[in-house]
Amino acid sequence: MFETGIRQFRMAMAMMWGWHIKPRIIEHMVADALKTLEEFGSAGDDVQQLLDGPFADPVARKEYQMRMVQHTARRLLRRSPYYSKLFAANDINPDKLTLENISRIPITRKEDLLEQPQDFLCSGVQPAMSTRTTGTTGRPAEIWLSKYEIDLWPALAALSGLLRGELLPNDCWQVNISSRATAAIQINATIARLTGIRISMLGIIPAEESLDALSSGDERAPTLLATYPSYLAQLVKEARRRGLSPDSFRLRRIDCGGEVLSQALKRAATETLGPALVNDAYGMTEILPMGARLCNQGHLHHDLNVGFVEVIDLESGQPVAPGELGTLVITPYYPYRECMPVFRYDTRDIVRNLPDEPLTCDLAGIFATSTIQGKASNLLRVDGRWVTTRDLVEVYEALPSHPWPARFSARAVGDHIEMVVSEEALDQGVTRAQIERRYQERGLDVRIVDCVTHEQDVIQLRPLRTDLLETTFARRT
Amino acid sequence: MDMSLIAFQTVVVLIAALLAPLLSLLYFRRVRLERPALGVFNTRDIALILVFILSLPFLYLILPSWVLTGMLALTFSTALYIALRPFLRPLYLWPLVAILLVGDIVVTRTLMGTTQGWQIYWVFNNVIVLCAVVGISNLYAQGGMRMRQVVWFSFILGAYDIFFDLVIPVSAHLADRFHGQPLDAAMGWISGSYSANLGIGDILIFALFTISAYKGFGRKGLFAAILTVGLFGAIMPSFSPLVILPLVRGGVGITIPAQTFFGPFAVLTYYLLRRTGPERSMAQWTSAEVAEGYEPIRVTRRRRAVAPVAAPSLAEAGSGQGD
Repeated sequence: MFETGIRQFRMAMAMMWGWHIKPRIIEHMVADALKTLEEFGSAGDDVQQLLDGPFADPVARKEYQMRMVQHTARRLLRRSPYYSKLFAANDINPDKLTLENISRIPITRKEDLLEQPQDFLCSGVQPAMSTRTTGTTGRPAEIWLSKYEIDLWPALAALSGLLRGELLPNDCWQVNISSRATAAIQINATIARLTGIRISMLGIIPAEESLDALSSGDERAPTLLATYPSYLAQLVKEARRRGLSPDSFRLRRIDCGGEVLSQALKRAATETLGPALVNDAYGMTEILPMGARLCNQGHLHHDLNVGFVEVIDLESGQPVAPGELGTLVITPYYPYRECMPVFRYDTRDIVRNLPDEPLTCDLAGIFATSTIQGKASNLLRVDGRWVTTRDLVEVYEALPSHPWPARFSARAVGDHIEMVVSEEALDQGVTRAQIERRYQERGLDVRIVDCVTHEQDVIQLRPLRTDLLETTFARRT
Repeated sequence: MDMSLIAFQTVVVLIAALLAPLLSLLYFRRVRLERPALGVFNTRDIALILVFILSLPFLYLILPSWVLTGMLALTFSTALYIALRPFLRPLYLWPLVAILLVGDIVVTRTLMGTTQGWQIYWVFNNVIVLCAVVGISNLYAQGGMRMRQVVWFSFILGAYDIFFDLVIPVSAHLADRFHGQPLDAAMGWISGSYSANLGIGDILIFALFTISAYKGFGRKGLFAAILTVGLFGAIMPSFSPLVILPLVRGGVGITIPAQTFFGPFAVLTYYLLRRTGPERSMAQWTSAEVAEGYEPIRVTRRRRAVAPVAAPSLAEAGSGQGD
């Protein structure tokens, strides 16, 4: 207990002042957490505050954010060729940065990372491993990580997972994410090593094989599943085809990320696979370990301990008003990003600012936005209003024909949207008129102009991560 | 040896040895102390306490009286705070602590010399020590200290006691040093020319032993603990001057190394209990209490600023992978 107290103090000091964090300390804290759970069955009384920080106090939050933004900018000025040039060109003095004038720094886009990746590598840091974005919405970007980052992130995630009850020591974790998502794979494997839970890394293999693994093993069957919404859709469909019910599984939670997860699919996953929670979290390779998670009221709460979050207007670049749509711009702080950090990175992930009123959810003390509404590149401007991917997916996946995952293409034409749908959407006697009516009920003027039947054409309508299929020999026998 | 003195000593020690553990146990079952987010009481914590306990007597012997009183006041006020916090708001708690400690010091300075004065002194002292033992034993036990750790702790203290009683007689000097001092770290009583007391270290071990035996092994553990404390922690040490002459010091200021008698039997009791099943954790004990319908009547909750552990959600790290 005494040693744990010292470790917590060292960790807290490093966090508050932006000092280098020894991953070994966090790994020891993971061991402490395991012992605590073994003895008491739960973490102690201050655990929520320990995890989420004292950020219910806006003054403390602002003071911390400003200190960390300045600290991160100072380091980038010294170490990052890209940002030292950018700061010089825009006459930026990190010591004079405030949360109000941070918008003077131009945002960093994915194109910048693609065009001059070497300039983002910080001097004095040895790159150890590269990871690529999956590239489902464009050319993949390559991000280099240092050994420090590779060690630190999973240790932090393991500690958080244990303390939040997301991981239990007797869990079995099935991971169905692309094997090329090396950062996430590396993190997951290390989390399992640190916490002692069993892990089964299957990748994006045929859904039938994954479902076999999910529904077999009796007491040793998976209790956690990490995957993409589109792959989850495949699993749910396959489970329904086989007539499986929640009794066939031991799942207690499914963590989804990387794509829009509709309410209809979430509900179907709960009804079919049986987990108490289907979690729609947010993370991105370029900004790791920064992320966000959902509360009990469906807000997306951003982890302000590790980064600064802005929601800016797509056109003006200024902060958006409450209730308005904007793109998430994120600055991960040092000491969480060391090798190839970004500053004011435009994720192009669209969220809606929440109304300017106090939150009443279970994470009310933490800054929140709406859930991710889709990518900026997929926004449609119709009759003076923005229509997001989520607006379209929510209606589409709620159709009685259960066309999961949603495969369609949409384009704005004047005052309405023209949509090409897959043949699957018109199953179960669903007609084009019925689909259009459902959109009209949501205030969207959608017209179905075509229906695609050929499988390859259907995939081209809307490429999804489930399409990153990895072949196996299992089905050849 | 005066048999009446032995009888008096036995009664006083038996009451002190059993009252504190039983009150501590009652507290353990009905009051939940605040627990830090992370951490379990482990062997290294015990080693740290041992170093503290083993070195403290030497400090007590060399420190000026006012420094010693100051240290004891600080230690006892902390222990009283821990014990009473679940029942009292700080507005009432701190004045009560001050009344007890200042009252003890004032009585020591003004009323000693008469039997009544000594008895008032022991009333103050016993209340303070009793509350402190209840608080500290619960802090350790509710922090995850196990019976196995308690019995080995007791065994090591027993070896220490016998060494510093028989080889280097520090314990006797320590007893003399505390005698009539404010905030004597002991529970005791005086009647006529008879006086007896039991040190706070022994009482704390008995309380920890009883709580951890009950937590770890249920009612059979409690029964075994009470029996062991009564027989080998109170009665046997009290009668020992009849046969162990070096403890007697000519019948004046007898000091008995209670842990020397108790420690080996505590270890034996633990291993006998272990043969009946594994020692329960706090989580298992809590579940059993809930199943029996026992809920704590007081739970400490204190909001305070804690520096956060920057920890991304598992889901964020686990499945997030950008485009």
